[in-house]
Amino acid sequence: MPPWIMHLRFVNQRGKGIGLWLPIFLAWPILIALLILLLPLVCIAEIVLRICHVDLRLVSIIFGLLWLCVEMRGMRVVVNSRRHQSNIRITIH
Amino acid sequence: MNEERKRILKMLAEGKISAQEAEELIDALGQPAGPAGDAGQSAKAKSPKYMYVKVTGNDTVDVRVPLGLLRAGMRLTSLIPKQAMDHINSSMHEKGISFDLNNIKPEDIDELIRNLSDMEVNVDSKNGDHVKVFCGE
Repeated sequence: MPPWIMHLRFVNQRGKGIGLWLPIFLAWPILIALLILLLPLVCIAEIVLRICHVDLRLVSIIFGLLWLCVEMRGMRVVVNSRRHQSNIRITIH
Repeated sequence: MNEERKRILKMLAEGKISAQEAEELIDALGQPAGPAGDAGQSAKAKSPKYMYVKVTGNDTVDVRVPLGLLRAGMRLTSLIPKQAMDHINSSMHEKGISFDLNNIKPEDIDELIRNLSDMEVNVDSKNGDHVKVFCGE
């Protein structure tokens, strides 16, 4: 399952916080449409590179990076600074 | 009735164990079991999902990284062009790290991740910070 929502939360020294819910699921259709549009060009580029004896598998790299994005679901970063009395929390759901 | 159960009842009859102990032993025998199934289940249960990095001290940092990300990253290394891979390996060798990235095969990654469950790194720094890296559910 790809990540759907990114939750950002910042709490400053006065104790005031901002919470942001970023709907990543809205980016996925755009990304996939872009990928479908660019895929023929990438394939041509890969063929040209192969002819030039350059071992760069562009299509595999693009899908690998896409998979990397998909696997980011569940990532969480929490930073609590005493010096700056602030709290940052980033969660990918 | 299997052998273990018979032996427990015999020990109870001989007064070697109490009724409570016998019940506990029989309960333990009644766990879902079969050696192969057990091993499979424990291997599945042991496979960690996340890697945690926790820093405590002046500042607190808590990072949870899905191990699937590691798996995806490792697979990406197989796409690095040979020339670049040779350059990486020689640079690492120069720094004293005798580690060949070509030796990492995608089929070994799952085993590597499974074995990470036993790993725990604890670092205590002079300024009072404590870093703990471990893998878990």
